[in-house]
Amino acid sequence: MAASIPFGHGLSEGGRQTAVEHDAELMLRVREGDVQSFELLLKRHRAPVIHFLYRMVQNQSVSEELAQEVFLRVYRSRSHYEPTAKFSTWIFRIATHLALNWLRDHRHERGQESLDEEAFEGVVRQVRDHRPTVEQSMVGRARLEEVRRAIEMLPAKQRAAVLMHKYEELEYSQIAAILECSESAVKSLLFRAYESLRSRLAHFNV
Amino acid sequence: MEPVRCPIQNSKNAAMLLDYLDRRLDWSATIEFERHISGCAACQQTLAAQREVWNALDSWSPGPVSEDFDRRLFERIGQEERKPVWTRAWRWLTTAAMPFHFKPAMPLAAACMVIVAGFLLQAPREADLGAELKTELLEVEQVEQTLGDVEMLRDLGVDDDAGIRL
Repeated sequence: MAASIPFGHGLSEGGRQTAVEHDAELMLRVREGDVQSFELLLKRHRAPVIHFLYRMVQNQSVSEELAQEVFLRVYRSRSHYEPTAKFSTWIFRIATHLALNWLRDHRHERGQESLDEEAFEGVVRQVRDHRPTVEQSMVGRARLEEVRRAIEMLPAKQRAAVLMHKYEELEYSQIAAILECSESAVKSLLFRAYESLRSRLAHFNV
Repeated sequence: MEPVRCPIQNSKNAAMLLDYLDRRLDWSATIEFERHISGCAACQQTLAAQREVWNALDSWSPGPVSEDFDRRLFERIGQEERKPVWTRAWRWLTTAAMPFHFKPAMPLAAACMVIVAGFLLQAPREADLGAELKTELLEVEQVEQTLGDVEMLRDLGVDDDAGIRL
């Protein structure tokens, strides 16, 4: 079933290839006017795109607003779609550019923003199952805040590269196509980004 | 096989550490790199620190997606579908055709349109002028040729109209 194919994570090379071909096939059906295929694409890519945007802009409502724009653009472009690149590369390219533009346009506001409460949701949700003590919960929040700040302090392109590499498990070639640079430039971006994260999160023990 | 150069010392090999942790290295490269790590304290330290970073990043999971996300999206799609064609075409031109908000693209496109419009307005006039000039030159040439012929006939003493010797 199309909708049951997970995105990226945990797929074998063959499974990944099948998912890639299936995405292109679905998009070609969308081009022919099949709205159900668009719903399937949305179902498969919705969460990865929103999560990526959330980690980029660190604001839940903005990330959803940007994600809406991403899928609107995909839908608008349906009649001109040609499967020349992987669908995931294309959709993350749109998402990355929207996020980079948003960060550029709001960079002054971001500096003055107080802590985003939504950023804590993850850890709270994670530890809730294990019935944490108040102290554990506070430590968890503090650690998460450190991670969030460390990511936020990365230059926007490095941030995008790390998020696509770590969470979306995109290949170097895909990240290169999305950021419009060479693969070696991506490797260098990633190495510098992880170097910064290593020094900022050196004391982080999970 | 050439021994692995320390990725810490050599920026060219820097991604090797990530590839190793990510299991993206092939079998022989993995063996070779592990041989290097066993004797390199700097690499061991960096790998341990990188694992910690990844563990830290793993702890950051975003919140759930709003339940009405799809409904809002399809509402927006519906609204767009109901808009007049020219509005959609303009929207496509400014977003889908240029999905990356390349800001200088719009003024650049406007400038190009002005140049093209100017060229199109100018081009037919130039073509007309060219045609007029060509006709005039042809007429002058014909008159000159006729006068030359008449002169030649006069020289030969032939009446132009009657064809008899003057």
